[in-house]
Amino acid sequence: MTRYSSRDMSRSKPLPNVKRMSRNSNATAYSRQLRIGPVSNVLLVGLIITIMGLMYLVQITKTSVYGFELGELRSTQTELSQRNQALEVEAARLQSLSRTEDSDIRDELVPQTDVSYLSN
Amino acid sequence: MRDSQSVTSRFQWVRISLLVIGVVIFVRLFYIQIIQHDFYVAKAERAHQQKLVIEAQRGQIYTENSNGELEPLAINQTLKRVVADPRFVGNPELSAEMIAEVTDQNPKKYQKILRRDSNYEVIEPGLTIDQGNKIKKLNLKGVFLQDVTERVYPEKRLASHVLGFVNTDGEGQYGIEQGFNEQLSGVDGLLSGAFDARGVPIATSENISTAPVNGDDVVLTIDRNVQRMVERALAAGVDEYQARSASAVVMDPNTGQIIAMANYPDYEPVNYAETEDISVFTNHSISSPYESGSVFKPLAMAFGLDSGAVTPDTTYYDTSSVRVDDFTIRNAGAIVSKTRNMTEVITKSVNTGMVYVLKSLDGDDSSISAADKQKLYEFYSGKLRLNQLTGIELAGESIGILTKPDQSSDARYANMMFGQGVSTTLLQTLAAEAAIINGGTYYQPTIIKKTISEDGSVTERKQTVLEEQVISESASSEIRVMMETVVSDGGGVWARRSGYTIGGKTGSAQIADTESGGYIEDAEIGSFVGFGANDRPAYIAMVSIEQPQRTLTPFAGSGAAAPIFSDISNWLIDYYGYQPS
Repeated sequence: MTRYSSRDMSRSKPLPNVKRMSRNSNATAYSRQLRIGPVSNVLLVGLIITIMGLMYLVQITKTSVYGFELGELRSTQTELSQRNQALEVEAARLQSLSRTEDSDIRDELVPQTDVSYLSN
Repeated sequence: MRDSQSVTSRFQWVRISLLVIGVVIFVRLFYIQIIQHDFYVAKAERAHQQKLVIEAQRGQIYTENSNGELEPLAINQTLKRVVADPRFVGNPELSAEMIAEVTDQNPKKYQKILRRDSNYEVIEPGLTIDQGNKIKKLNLKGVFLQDVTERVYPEKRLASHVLGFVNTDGEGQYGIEQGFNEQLSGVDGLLSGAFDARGVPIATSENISTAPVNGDDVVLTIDRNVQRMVERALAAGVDEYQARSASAVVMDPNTGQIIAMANYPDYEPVNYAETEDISVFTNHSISSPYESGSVFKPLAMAFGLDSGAVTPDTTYYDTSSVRVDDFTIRNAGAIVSKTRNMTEVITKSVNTGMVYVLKSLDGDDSSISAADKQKLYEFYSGKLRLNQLTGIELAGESIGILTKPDQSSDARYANMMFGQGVSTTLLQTLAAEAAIINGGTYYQPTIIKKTISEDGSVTERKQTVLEEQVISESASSEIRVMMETVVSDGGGVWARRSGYTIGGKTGSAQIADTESGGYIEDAEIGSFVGFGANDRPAYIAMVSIEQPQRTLTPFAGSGAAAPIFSDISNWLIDYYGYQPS
């Protein structure tokens, strides 16, 4: 039986392919299977830019559609406002003094008579 | 080996060619994007960028009834104008027929327009919204719709001289439309940015939008019922007395607010373009100064009373005429020599009595002195503001003529005591008369009760006192009583109404000839200023009538103007329900 002294051990050469262990390190190491090279990086960046571009286009299209919808709503609002205005004008014409005087209401009015006041 | 060299050589040529093409493209892009950058940016902006003016809505004009409800006098309406570019109209006959079906008009009218060699033709100036939509649905080539705002006057001719009208450029002309144009117009808005081919703003572009500020609505002090009645009274008066024209203003003497202001002949503001005689647009009650005659006597007498020169009981001996300079001033009517007091001078409208008052102003009634003239001038100009604009908010106000003492003869100043030789507008005279009968306060005449801004905030127009005390209260009371005698015993008898206190003064004056400098022969303006209906006057009104051919008395003031005032006064008493005292 061979015996090694601690002195002998400290002087011995480290074993090949043996990872040096330190405190709190994993005892088992796994090698990476997926490796990304420079071409993949370029493709990835290109893909991201494309997706972002598509997203931008979708948003810009949506905004444009909202713009048209907004335009339509404004147009409807304007037309309703104009219709309201036309009704106000018609109401004013119907309530005008000349209209009242020319209408059938005039025939139902009684002539003005002298007013008598009771003295206090 | 040779093949290999040939392939290499071809690749070289391809490379060189690609390089050359690349360089050309690069140079071209550099030229377009860097060197010509500004040019193309400007070109793109011209294509997409537009500035769209958003028209501010013109403020509307109202009166207010006794319930506080607004009654419109001038409002806006948007109409659809149909226009065409005949160069692009494919089939004029068919297009005309389709348009005519909507408008219910003769298609030939439109065919004629659509065949014209022009790039802009108005087919219909103002269709309703429904008609406009129908035209739009026809999708006619070369036919377009435009929104146009039309000013509508629903009461037609009512208060036409107060309102004025809006011309085709959207500018107010005459009346309140011009006088208050800035406040009524508002401020146009602006939309600046990128627009698509259909003219719709692109939401993603950097648009600059400034919202329009609509004009203020204006509520007038006019009572539309009184206005209607006054207009009818003038029209009837002009017809009955065969006069050229007539004017009247009704005012609240205790605030200066105008209740009615009318002239006849009048016009319809919406059809102003069809009016042949443009002088009909003139509001004579504020724009046409004239020598109003004896309606001036109460003004001059009030000064005599206030200054202590005379009292209602002061007497003088009247010989029916008085010599001033080289002129003889006579009384109208029969020649009578007698002692008269100042009340009688007003009641009977005695010219010589007024000359006596002028002579007495300096404390010496023997002659007209420089001090007499200076005092009268200071009263007319300083207190009664007869040489200043009243400041009413209507366009076209005139001042008239009031000459200074050092530029005038004694005879002219003697004439100025009874309204000759001094010209004022009807409103100037009325405001002065209101001041002497209301206790002595000169209120600025106003026709605006309040304004309403776009956000609904209301600004009430406060009454403005221009002179605190033109005469004392006691002098005011005395002149009021003297004017009441004109109605009870003098030329204003037409205005009398049992149980009510009505005062007034007639005036008949020759019409100055502005061309020759003298007076027009046999041409007279009759005036009457009066107030009622109780001890504290609630209304004051003045009527003038130009060149009446038929009068109830020999004078236009008492024989034409006074009866018109009487109609107005009696109606006002019933309308407001004044009780007899």
